[in-house]
Amino acid sequence: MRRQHPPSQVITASDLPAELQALVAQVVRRARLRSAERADVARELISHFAEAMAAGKTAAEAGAAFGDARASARELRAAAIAKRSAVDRAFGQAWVWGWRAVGAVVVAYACFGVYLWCNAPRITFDAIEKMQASMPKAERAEDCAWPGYRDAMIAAGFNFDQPSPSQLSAISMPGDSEWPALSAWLDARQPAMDALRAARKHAMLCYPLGVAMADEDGILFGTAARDQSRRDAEDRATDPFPGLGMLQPQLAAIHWATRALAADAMHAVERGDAGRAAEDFLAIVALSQHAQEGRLILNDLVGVNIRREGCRGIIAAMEWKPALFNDEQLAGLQEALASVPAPLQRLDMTMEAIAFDDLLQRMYTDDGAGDGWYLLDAVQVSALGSRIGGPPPQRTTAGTPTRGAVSVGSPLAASPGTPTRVAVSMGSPLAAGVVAGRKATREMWKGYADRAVAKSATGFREQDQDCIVCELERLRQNPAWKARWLLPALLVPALDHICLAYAGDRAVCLATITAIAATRYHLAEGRWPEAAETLVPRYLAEVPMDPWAEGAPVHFAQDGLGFRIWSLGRDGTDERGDLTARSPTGAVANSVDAGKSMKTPVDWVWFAPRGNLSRWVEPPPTAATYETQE
Amino acid sequence: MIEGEFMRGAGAVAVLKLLERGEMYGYEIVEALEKRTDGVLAMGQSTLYPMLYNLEAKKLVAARWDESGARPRKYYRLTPTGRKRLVEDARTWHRLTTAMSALGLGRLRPAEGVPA
Repeated sequence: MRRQHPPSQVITASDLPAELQALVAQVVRRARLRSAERADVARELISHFAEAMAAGKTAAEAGAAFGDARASARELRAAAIAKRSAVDRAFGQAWVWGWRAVGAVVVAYACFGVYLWCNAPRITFDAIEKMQASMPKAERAEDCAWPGYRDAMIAAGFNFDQPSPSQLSAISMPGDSEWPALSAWLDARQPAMDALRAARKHAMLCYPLGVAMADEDGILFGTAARDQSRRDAEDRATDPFPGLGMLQPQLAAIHWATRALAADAMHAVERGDAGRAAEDFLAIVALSQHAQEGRLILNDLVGVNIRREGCRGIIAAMEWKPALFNDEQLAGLQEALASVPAPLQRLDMTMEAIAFDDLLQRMYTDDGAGDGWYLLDAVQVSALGSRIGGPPPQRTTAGTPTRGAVSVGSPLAASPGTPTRVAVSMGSPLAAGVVAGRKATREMWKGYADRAVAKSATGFREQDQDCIVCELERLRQNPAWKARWLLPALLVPALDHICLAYAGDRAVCLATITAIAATRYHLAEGRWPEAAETLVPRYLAEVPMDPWAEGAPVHFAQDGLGFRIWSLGRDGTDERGDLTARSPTGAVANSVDAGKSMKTPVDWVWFAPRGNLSRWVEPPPTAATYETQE
Repeated sequence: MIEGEFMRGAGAVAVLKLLERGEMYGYEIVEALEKRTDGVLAMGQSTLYPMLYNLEAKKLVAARWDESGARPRKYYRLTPTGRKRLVEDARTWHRLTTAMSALGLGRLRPAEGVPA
């Protein structure tokens, strides 16, 4: 096959005068044909003019005789296309229209980009102000517990600029190697502990949300946290997500106050001071409710964990010294746990809804009717990524103030470079087309939020049957779904874990209340109850329900020396409270203690106190040993 | 010289007629049309090649490059389809000219130079 040269090369390689070469080039160029076709036309015209020159014509005459180059190019194009096969012509048409379509899409894309660029998000409300407005208001300064907690912690020597007291770095129990040092630390701080206990009697916490830290608070939290809070308050206008970035240092303070009170309670139990121990536990329960003031999920998680720590301490104290507390003290503890307001033991998404609406108003255009397009913004994506990727709140320690949402650190620290910004801007129309609109996104998020709120009020068994994370994970396998529901996919997945925390809170409180009731019965009657029903109504308002079985009461057994109450556990199988059968970790025999028993399939058991702490440090006895011991 | 729509129909038939006797290259066709019709059918050279391409697209002519001479030339020849078409077009032209003559369009008044 003859090798085809490019048209321009064919023309320049000819012997034609420059003006005729230009004429040929003009016709060929205007014909807008394929390369092979243009080369063929060029060769034919070159041949034509070469013949004319050979016939004695001048270049000017040959050029003039040729006629209108533009018309010739037009007709050549039509004729050359007509020469192509039907399939070829169809392909050519498709090619042309395809490119026209691409052009139209590019133009539309650019126009949409300009539209988006001109429609910056409209901030219609201040999320922090709205959150502040939705918080309970104290009518009198005496109703507020925070100043009392703060001053007591300062008096106890807490200063978050300094490393936290090593004695409190882990929950220490009598018998631990750290216990003597912790006892001495507590002995030296009893006045401060008295003040801490006294502060719990105030109805509200009153820690101000989202404002610059007061000087008095700065003494406790340290200059770093104080300066950070002031910078945050100043930067609020430029913070991409102020609703997600609130410092909540009071949670870290409450966390450490809880540890100090829990240690002091065991210290009091060791000394036989039942009154102080009971007051410590009551203060812990109060702290748990104060931590939940504000009702962001983080507050709730901290509050629930504090309550669980209080229950653990009460059970440990009764286990160690069953006869320590008198009936009045036990009744007081029972009442405190029973009077935790039901709404605090369920999810409340009011604050999260405000934060989510704030997210939407900052990430979407506003059409004035509640809808709008998603606006891809490099700064926001970077800031949101750094917030979502932060450490879990449970790991918060003193010296690292806890933010209201998920993470710590300056929200403005990560600033994307110009290439990223340009790339993100170019992708903005695409993102707006892919990511669901504002209204749909809110409805999607609200659907999951409502479901989680409802789920948080149910027991373990029902929760097992409604797995939001499983559903989301299944949906997230589809990248198109994940992209369309960008924000719900990012922000919803933790809900199952959170719902489980509420169910665990209710179950642990119920178990502790039941154990206290049984102990009170033993104190009064000199024997253990025959059945759970025996405790009703004098010691319990009603027979406790099995948290792992829908609508069924807990199981109860006693042999005259002791008792055990058990729930069926996650597997729903009755092992009659035998923890040794399948416990994978050799967990402590009193499973009220830890959340781990809620994750394992074994029965969930609480026992009559035995007057020692061996159950807390030894592997559980075998079933046979247990029956023998009892 | 005939221009426009007349030339579009007549030019194609004329080219087919020229090729009836053997293959010719583009410039040769241009020259032949001019000389053999006293310039009446001399078409603009710029329209010849599109016309040849159209005839080629309709499979009435076929082309080949000959590079054996001093100058490469693209020769056109009549195909069997082109030959049939030429016969049909010749008949049509004959009927047309007969009809025109019957209307007196075949005679000229020398003084005005327009048909009588």
